[in-house]
Amino acid sequence: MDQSFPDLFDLKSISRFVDDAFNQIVGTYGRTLEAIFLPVLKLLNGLEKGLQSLPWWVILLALAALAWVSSRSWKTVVLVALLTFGLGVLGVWEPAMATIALMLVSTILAILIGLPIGIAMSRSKTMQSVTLPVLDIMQTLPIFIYLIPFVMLFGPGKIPALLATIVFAVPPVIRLTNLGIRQVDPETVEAVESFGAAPMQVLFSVQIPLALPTIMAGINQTTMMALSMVVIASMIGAGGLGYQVLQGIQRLEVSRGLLAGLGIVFLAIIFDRIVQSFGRRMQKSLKPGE
Amino acid sequence: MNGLHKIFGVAALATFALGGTTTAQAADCGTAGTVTIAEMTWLSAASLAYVTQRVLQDGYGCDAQLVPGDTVPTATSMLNRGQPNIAPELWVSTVQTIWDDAQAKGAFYKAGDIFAGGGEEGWWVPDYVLADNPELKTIEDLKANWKIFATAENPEQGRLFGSPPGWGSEIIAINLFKALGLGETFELFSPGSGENLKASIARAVGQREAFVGYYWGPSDVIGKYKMVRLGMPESDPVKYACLVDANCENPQVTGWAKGQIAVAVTTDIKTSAPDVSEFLAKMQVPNDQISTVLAWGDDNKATPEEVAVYFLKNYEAIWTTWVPADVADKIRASL
Repeated sequence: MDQSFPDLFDLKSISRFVDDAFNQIVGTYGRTLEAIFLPVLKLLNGLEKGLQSLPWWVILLALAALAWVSSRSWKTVVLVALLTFGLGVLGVWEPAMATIALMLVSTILAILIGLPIGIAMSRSKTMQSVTLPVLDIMQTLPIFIYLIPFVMLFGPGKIPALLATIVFAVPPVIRLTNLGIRQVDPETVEAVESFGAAPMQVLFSVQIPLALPTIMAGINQTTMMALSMVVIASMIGAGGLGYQVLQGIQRLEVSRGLLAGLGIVFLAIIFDRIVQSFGRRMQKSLKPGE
Repeated sequence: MNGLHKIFGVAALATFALGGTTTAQAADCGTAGTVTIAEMTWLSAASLAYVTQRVLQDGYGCDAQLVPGDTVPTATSMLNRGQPNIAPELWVSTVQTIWDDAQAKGAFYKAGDIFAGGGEEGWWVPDYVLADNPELKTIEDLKANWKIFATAENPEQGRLFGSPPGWGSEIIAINLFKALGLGETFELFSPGSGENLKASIARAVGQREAFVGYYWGPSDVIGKYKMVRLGMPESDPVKYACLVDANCENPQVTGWAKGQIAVAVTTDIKTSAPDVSEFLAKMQVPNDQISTVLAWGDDNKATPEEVAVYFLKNYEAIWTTWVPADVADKIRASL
């Protein structure tokens, strides 16, 4: 042990300072932070209750219709309908609805946050060089490091789960929005500019539409990452399918874990097919324009 | 080497048979193989695992290794694979069926009770909640006093924190919730994990908010946040047997049984390492002292290993009664 690294700083007192400061913040602002997010929580709870109170076939028809709108392919519609039916067969319908509610809200919020940041990154080198390392940190930092502090700040339950999911899931949509816009052919942009288009016009009528397939790929990844957070989110009281998995693991009931795990896989395939075929169709519709 | 071990083994066995008086005979690990110790995720169990490791390693010269794992996986593995060899803090009620099975098959045995006062489970509140609400004393008072525990998310109901999923206490909490008729005024909120339960308590106490929920002692949380257990009726064995059953049809109100928390040891240790098994039979800590040690650990951000060393350094009076004098000297020298 005499070869160990020298103590350059008094880490113990630094970490005590950090912890005390954090506790101070929790004590002072905890209630306010919880109150700020109360509307989001009400929305989330309302969505969950709504999905759970609808008859199962309404949800099935809605998802199938969504699949038709996005893909125009009967194969996808049948697959989505079958998998949705499968959720009920697996006996995980109610927790699956809770998971869908959390996933939808966090994905929508992630897109609302991610798109503007991605666009800003694509228009400014400085913004890009500042944001990229932050995204790297967000994607590599172990989730538990911010999960439990989120609980302390916002109270246990769905809000910290939602925020942690957003932190975890937002990077792909930011990255791919940035990438998509940057990959738009400069000559096309130049041509439009030479016709006198203003920068905003270039952005909204040329760059973003042309980048949409890439952006959709980012949204797809974001959706999948939000889904993969469900087990971890349930560890802080978010409920849903992840909770069934946890119960299964803790009680060593392989069957229960497997059923809920399959439910998560089904959900993943359903949303992956819907979002992906939407992106693919968009790409096709862009082709003739080239 | 093997022969030497045998001689020591026989000698130790002889002293053991003669009533276990400490003799001049040097204590010895008895086995050249690795002795594995279960290191569980919460502070007291993890620290006790390190204490056990230090005693075996420095005192008895064993090759003692820690194996991470929580209660149910550890007990299952001990039953099926005979590994890990030692679980210093095993909550028997959490793994009752595995435990009964292991007793029947002779896979592992209870060397002793690790906590002198047993385990205290129940529904706890921070002390200021009781001071502010004198009408709240027992778990039966909860139903009428739900308003204290209402949340902004759900102002119509009080929130009762249940136990993390899959823990034995989860079933008890669900049944007791039913038996007390709490469904009318309370929501049973599942914290999802022990970490979240702890963070929720920390948050509530930090803001001096009301909290009621499942916890257990001895633990750092109980000591640090000054939690008080709500009163409950004397535990009735028949009613309690129904409470722990997930299929209990008509749960009745009764108190938590005093938790049996065992030093669980696989049977082969008895023969392969008799000196060690003698130490394990004596290993026991008083509840209040261990809570003090754990609170020290939490306040000083100590790792379980540091807590173990702190305990060995400062609570000699407790652990020196577990081992013969020469072993104690060796441990003392290693600190």
